[in-house]
Amino acid sequence: MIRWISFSLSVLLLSACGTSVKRVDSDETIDLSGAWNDTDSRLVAEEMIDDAVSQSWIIDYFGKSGNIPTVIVGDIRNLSHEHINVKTFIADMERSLVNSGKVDFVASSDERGQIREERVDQDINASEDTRKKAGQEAGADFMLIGQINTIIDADDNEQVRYYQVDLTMISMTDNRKVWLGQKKIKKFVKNSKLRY
Amino acid sequence: MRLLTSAFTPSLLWAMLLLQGCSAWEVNSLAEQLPAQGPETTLQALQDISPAERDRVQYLLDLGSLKFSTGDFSGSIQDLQQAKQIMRELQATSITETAAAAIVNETFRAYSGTPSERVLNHLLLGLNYLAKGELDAARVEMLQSNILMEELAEADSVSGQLASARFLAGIVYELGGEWDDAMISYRRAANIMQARQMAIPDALATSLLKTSLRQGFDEEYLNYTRQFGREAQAAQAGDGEVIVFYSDGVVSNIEEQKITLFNWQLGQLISIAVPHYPANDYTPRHLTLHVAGQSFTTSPLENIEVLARSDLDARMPGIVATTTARTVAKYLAVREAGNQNGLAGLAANIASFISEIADTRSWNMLPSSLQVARFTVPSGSLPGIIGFPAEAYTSQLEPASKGATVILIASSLSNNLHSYHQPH
Repeated sequence: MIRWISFSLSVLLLSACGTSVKRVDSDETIDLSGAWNDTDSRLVAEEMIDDAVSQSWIIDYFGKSGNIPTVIVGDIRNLSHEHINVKTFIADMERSLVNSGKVDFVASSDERGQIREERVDQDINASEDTRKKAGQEAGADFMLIGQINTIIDADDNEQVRYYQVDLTMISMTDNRKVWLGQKKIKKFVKNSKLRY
Repeated sequence: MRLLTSAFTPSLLWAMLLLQGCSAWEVNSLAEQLPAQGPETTLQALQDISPAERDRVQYLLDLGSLKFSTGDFSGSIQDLQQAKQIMRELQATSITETAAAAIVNETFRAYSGTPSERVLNHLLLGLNYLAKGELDAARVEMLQSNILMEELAEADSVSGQLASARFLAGIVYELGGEWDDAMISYRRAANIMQARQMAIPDALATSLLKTSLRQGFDEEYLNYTRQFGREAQAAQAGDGEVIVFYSDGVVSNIEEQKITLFNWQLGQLISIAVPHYPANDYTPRHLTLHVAGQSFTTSPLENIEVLARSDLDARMPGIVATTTARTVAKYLAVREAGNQNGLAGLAANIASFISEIADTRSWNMLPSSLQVARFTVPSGSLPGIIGFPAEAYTSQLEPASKGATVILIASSLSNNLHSYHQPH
């Protein structure tokens, strides 16, 4: 019996595990390590932008100017304990802002540089009736900035991860903060003490 | 013991010996040649090695440190991040690896890094991100190293507590304007160095003086002026600041100590192999910088030779216990095989002798010491550097711009000098 077990163990040790791939829906929540993931990014962005566009600053601005506000997303700083891809979070927010239909949205400074280069190129190479003029850009009325912070409490193989995302909408005219949004996520992560 | 003895059969042992790769031996050999060959040649040779899965962490750590030395920061980050993730997963005890270590040898455990190596990984990642100009990402690594050091902290022990990681965290916080956190980090760095009975380098003294004065911690500042015999240097408007991180040498390799004896009474070849470090004869060599008529020399912040030996010393009781149990199990199994069949007994004895190998894996392409310097330079001045190697780095340096902080990263293994400029 013992010999059979040891022989089986030998065979098992010599056998290799293959890679398996399964396609899943991009909206499906899969938590592997407990770290910030695509679901956190998407849900936080959607909830916070929903809150931002449902507040009174939009109505106030419309009342004063007769136009819907034009928004630009500025710096979102990652001050957390994790390497969070802020670009995907910004993209999620931009999508939620544009899809809300309650604000106009302008390109970021990096994107503007690219568009301006193209405009200069059009000046030289495009036909007159399709050429776009310089100096016609829409200026933003508000800038959205923010930061992602975390507090980690760890003991042995257990960890509580607390994420706090703070966003602020600031008026470009007078630096007034017209909206402050906050979203918190708390996760309890327990790692196994044993593995195969 | 009975279970161990029963599990130790020639078929199992030979199967495991087939699994015994030689990648760790090849990596160790390259680490020994690193001072002579240099990081570029060693990196090429290392990339030709295909490591066994259980040696992957050592391989990635060495790969990451070599890429850092050659200036491939993105590549270094990729390897070190991967090593970090694997090391985290390997913190759980493996049932199969523990069994294999008890039956064959310790190299059947996946290498998961020592406490110091895990913290040093964050440090090297932090320096990589700084060299790339990504301050926020460097801050993430420093936060992670803080959490790890808290997890590793034990009463009356500095195991896994690194002054270098605390110091770099202080610098990163300072660059981000987080002065309170910087002060806490510098204090902790000083506490660790005192616990290790190391002299506090000028760079850390300067940081403690500067930050305590800026934060208005008058009593603490006064204590530091007494301790270091000087006051914080008053910077002139527009002066720049240079902070140097210098890696000197290559840390020692772990060696195998094998005792083999033939017991005539028992009729068996008995072998015991344990890891050990050779005597530490490392003497730090410093980097000297000449700026605007003044000379500045780097001082040791972390003696990695000492750290590596302390980590192995901490592991030794466990290694000795497993080795003893394994030796007894092998002896009993060989005796049992011999009782049944003389040839099987001989085969088992040969297998038990061959399989007795010490685990000599470590992050062996780290420097022997990490040194630092910190000083103020007049605006626009260009530091000239003399160190190891003696070639001047001057042509690669940009002048310190008005009020800027420049972080220089240098190594005794290479002429490459990397810098991070933080504008005022």
